[in-house]
Amino acid sequence: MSLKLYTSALTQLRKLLSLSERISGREYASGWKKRTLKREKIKETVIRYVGVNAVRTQRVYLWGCSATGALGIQQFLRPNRLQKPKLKVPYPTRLKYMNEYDFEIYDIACGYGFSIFAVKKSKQHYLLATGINTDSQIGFHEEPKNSGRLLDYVIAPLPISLPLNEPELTQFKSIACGRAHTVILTQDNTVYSLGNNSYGQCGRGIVQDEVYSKSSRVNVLTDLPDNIVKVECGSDHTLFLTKTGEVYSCGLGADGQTGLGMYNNQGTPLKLEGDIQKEKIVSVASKGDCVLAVSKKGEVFGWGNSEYNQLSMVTEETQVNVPRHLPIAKDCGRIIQVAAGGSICAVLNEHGEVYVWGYGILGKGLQVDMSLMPTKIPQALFGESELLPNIKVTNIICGLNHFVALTDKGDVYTWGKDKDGSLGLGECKNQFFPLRVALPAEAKSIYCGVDHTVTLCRSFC
Amino acid sequence: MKFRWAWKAFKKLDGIFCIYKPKELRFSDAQRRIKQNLLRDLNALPCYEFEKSIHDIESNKRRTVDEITSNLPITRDVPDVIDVSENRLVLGRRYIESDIELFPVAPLQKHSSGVIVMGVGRAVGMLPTIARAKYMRVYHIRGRFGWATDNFSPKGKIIERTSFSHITKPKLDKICAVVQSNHMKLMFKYAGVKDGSQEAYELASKGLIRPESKDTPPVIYGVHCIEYNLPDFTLEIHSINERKEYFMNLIHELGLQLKSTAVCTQVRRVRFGHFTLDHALVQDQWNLYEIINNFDKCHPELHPDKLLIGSKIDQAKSHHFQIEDGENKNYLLEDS
Amino acid sequence: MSDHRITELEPIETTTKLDIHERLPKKIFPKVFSFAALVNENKCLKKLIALQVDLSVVQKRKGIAKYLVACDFEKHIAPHVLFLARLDVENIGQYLTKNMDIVLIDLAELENRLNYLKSKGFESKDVSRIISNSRILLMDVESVDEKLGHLQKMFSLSGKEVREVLTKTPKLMNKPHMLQLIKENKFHCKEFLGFSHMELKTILLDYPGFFMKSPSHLSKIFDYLHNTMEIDHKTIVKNCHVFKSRLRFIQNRHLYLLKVNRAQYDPQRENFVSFNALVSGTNEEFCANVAKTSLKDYYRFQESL
Repeated sequence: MSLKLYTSALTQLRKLLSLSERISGREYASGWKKRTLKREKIKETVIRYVGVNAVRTQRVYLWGCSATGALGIQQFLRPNRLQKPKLKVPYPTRLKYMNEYDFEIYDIACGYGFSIFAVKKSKQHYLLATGINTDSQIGFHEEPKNSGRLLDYVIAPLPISLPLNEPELTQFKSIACGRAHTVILTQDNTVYSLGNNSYGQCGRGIVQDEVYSKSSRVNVLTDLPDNIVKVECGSDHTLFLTKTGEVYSCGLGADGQTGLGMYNNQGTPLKLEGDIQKEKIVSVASKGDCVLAVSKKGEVFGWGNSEYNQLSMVTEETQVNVPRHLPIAKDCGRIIQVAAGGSICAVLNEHGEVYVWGYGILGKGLQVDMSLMPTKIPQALFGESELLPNIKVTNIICGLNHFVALTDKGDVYTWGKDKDGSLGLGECKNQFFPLRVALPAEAKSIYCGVDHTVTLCRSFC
Repeated sequence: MKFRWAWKAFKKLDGIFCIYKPKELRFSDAQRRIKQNLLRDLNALPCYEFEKSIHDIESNKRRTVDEITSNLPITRDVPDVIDVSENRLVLGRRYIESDIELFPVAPLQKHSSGVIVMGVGRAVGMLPTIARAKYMRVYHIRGRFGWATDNFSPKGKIIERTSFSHITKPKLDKICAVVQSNHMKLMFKYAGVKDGSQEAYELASKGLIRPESKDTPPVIYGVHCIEYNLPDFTLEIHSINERKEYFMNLIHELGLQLKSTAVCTQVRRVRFGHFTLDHALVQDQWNLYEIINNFDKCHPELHPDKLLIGSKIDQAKSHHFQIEDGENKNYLLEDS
Repeated sequence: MSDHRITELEPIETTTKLDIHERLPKKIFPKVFSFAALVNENKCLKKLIALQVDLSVVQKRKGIAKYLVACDFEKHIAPHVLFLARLDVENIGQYLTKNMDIVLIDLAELENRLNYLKSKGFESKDVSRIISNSRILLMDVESVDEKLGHLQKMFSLSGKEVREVLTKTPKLMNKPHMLQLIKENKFHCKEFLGFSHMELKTILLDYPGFFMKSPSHLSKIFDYLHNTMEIDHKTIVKNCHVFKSRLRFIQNRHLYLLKVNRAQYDPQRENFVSFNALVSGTNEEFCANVAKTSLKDYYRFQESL
């Protein structure tokens, strides 16, 4: 029957019911009447879950090894009663901490088992950190205050205190984390460094037998020009990029990763020469001992470790201590981004295509575990099909042995060796080609450490 | 097309055709109705030997009347029938329901409408081949925001009403894109290859992969919004191995993701592989002559090239091709 | 037997010994499942075929098949056929196919039933029409009288109106529970669909077949006409022949007219579409005369539903 007849009958029924109630004067109703009225009430009340002008909220999803505390979720390591601690989380989990305290994240850096978040809360800026702190790489944390209990592991985000002129008002321009050190660039172009300095990676002179644990020392780097725009950390070395496209470096030089023409450790940052001398470098990438840089023209330069054929297209040596130009751009088009892991390298060109080379799981299937030249990963693996054409990869980064890519549709794809669930695919298994991570929000940017990955997302609605 | 004798028409009734099932009609009813219509048309033709000659005489008579238009009385010559027993008045209708074999490929439920491919006669043997091709089906799913029912169907009991004024088209599109990319992952799972093998990579790099068999859970290949007019919206969905319940669930989840609720109000299949709406016969056309004409229309879609899309033969061929391609590139080192 | 044999060398005549069929009593027929086995030999059946009686239908009726096989055409059936011919029954073959039981009824009784109709004031033209379209000759005079009386009482009809109704739709008498059905329909239309007593009477006089439909069919069509097409009771009563067609036809055609902007059911205004034009006629006629589009477009439209 039609809705009209139906509704008119029901309204009549309701009138009758209310009438009979008034006549009899009873306060309670029979089961049938109760049910009918309840159903009608449900039909009439409209529930509003979200306002008309609601803003899409920021969300952080992260996955990987939680034993270090790098995920910043306390419940994994200090669970409720009857629950077991979770040491690895191979699926995306939401970090609710930031939403609970109304922090807006604008930058993230992931190191070897620790993460740093640059956050803003109504014009006040903070640096929150969580994870391993054995070398004081995320600052001096005494909890509770004045108790002498210094934290070696931080399992929930805590603010780092820096000797700033205007604390809480200084914005952070760039942050980077290495194996056991952290480098921070603030808005007023001052570079701070914390943590291990045994190879000079913090940009100060090496002190023999220095104890880094439980130290409250924060260095201010003074030997640098004042136009630094970006800092980048390898495992034990640090790279500084200036606005004019020059690169400075310091730290471990055993594989030539400082690119300063020597294999010694360097305590103070020095300017790099070689093939990049006349080029304007816009981006550098390094996670392990190999460094890749890309110039504004789209050319790729590399130095450092070449044991796994990362740089074998220009040299047969296993170590390169001077930046060398890599002839990639003629095959791959104009490069806009590079990623260099322990033994794997990837570049991203302006068409949104990914090329990989090196040794390990490259994303070309089980059989291809080594490649001397960049080879393209089919775009179909990033979700392109006749029904969904023109998928572009907008960002690619890598850990030591795995890749993470972000597409323009807001999807995150991972592949490589699955160390403690760092791929986030639900099971700790190596993945031989890019596979999408099931994220319940649209990813905006991706950050990755050695065994954990952090994505900054926006909710759908 | 005209027939002189029912047997000739019955012999021709052997092929693949395509119908458009209206909604609120059970598929078994539709099947029965087609059968009855076919029988009605077959039995209206001369079925018995002597009827054929009467039919001839009558048609001749009409022609003479038309052509000559004379006033001569026309005598009706019934041929001398010796054997009375072979007669419609004794034996009844020549064709009965069990004479006609009629089966579908992927039928639709009662409340959904759309294209159904059917086979009649000996061509029924062809239907498993069509099913094995695992054609992509295209659906138009209509939904409505603002309410939720206990069984996801518009006829169920309303359990909640919600506001929907905050929903915009970009938000809906985003959710559709997420649904689509979520299902990309499922494709590898149901493709029937070992996880992490080289074969899996080669399949994946080709783009769309069909599921291994027709028993796998539904796989959705494409979702996009083609009509947006609050509170109603229409989605175009490309899928394989789908069910109506799955779509109803999908619309419900979609509503929840958008911080509202939604109910699926219409499911309409507009395409079944190469069989489109242009091929389909609507309910008024379900008769003998239209169906026999439709065989010719559907015949080009049964070419082996089109039928072998989903079978393993196609995949095996391209597999060989890719390996050869890999050998030519010298920097692709093989596993030693 | 041995007496007849002259010598032992004489060959035995097989025909005399093995002809069992001739020895069986003639009245008993071998078991058959259809008239087809008998029709070539049986004169009565042959005659019935010549009258264009469909034996495949008749043989399914209990009792009558055995009677026909055994009976003599000239003696048992011819008088009835002549009786029917006298009444100007249109198609005797068709009539006998449906009402073969008539041969079991005595001619005097038939005459009696015929006289009842005549006494009620039916004209002879109407009588032949009623008889050839209904099973009224197979019913008792009492039951027919009771049915007509109830019908008259139920709708408070005059004698002339009853005759009118019966002449219009003689099939009304064919339904086994005719009065019950009419009563149910009347109650349904009055209480649920909101028709008044007078309106129902008008419908009965205009289109008595209305009360032979099932209540669910009536409410389905009424629901669509009243709630979707927004037509008031008055117009529906005027065009009650709409209930003859199926809901699917009305639905498809109305939606199509809406699409081509021709759904205009008000006779005062331009481009008026009458209900008769809406529901009657083939699709070709409908497209050419009412919708004024091609048939192909109409079918394409049906695919979008």
